[in-house]
Amino acid sequence: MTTPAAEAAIAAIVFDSVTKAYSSKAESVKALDGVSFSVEKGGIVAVVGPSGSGKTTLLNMAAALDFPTQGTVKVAGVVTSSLGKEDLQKFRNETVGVVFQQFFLISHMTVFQNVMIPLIPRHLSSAEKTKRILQSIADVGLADKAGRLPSELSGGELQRAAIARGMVGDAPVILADEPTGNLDHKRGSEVMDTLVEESRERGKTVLIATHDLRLLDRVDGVVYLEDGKITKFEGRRVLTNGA
Amino acid sequence: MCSPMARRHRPLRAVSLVFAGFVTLVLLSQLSAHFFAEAIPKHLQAQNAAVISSIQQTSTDLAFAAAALGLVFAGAVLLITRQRVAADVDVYRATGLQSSSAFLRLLRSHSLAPLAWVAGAAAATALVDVDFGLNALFPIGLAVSFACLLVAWLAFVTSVSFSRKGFEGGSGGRAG
Repeated sequence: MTTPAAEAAIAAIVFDSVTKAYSSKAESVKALDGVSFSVEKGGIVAVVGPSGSGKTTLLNMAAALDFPTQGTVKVAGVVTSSLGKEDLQKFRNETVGVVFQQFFLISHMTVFQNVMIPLIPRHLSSAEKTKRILQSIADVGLADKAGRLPSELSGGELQRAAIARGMVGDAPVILADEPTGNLDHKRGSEVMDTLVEESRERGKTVLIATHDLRLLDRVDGVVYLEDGKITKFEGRRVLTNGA
Repeated sequence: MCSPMARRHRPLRAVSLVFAGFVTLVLLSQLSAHFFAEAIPKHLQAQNAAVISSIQQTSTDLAFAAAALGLVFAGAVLLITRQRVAADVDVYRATGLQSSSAFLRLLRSHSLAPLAWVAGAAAATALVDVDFGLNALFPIGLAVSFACLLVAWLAFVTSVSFSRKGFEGGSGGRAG
């Protein structure tokens, strides 16, 4: 068992008794219910569960796109719910890189322009931005397709472009929501290889939401989620926070 | 950087084109009334003042109808395309851009060229024939109204997206 102080020193992502409830007139639904776990710095951890188990809500919390009803989420030492507007934008831009299941590339922009988006708020020279964008695109194997529009790319290429966008800002934490969800097994494996290799090379901490159990041999640890509750932990680099 | 075959499907460009069509219709209805009246020989115009007045009235009615239809169509297309625009705004929000920056990028990505063309054509027509009573301000005003509607709409979608929790890619759904 790891002590809280030791966890704080080595953990990049900490969920501490996190509950997220959505209320309507008729009922209150808990998307997450008392979730506690941590991911070590540099660890690649998958969150696995069926559709509706709370995986996306959990990733939204880590990305500071949503906030807990109870408990705290700490990413790279920052409690997300304590951030003001400007700090929140800076956090989303510099601390986390997000890769979405449905790519969410902007359709009228080229791959180059899409990958550039996280660098827009950065105070970097145009030459430096261009260099970083081209490097990120090359890293995911799309160097010859930087000028293409999303409509001209295959599913696997779209997801690799989305990974390049998630990586270009050099954020220490990468969050990937079902990164292989829209791909066949072969393309899904290739995309997963790209994501894992890039993350390991750059020393990123990665949290991946997936229901594809075939991907689990590539990650360090697994958190199983069902109906908003953690049911099991596996592997290493994932800490249970005493749960 | 863009391949020759690439086509940029800019969000809301279709809205501008549809609306430009309606503004053109307004302009044409006014011009047709003008040329019809011009076709009547001068010495007969005094005897046919009532007919000319009636033509102009019909033309104005047609112009108003086309303008109203244009606004309704434009509003409908804006509503239909909301999800796609909101998805783009969500990407800007998730990557840490400010709402004002996201709004400006949406504006820049939207082509107002069709509206500019119609407004220019209406202004040129007005300069050529001001004394007939061809009210070029009407189509120009309509084009400006639509531009304002578009800007207000984009500001609204941006504001809603930035005040929302979670990332849903504008879908309103909640996955996994």
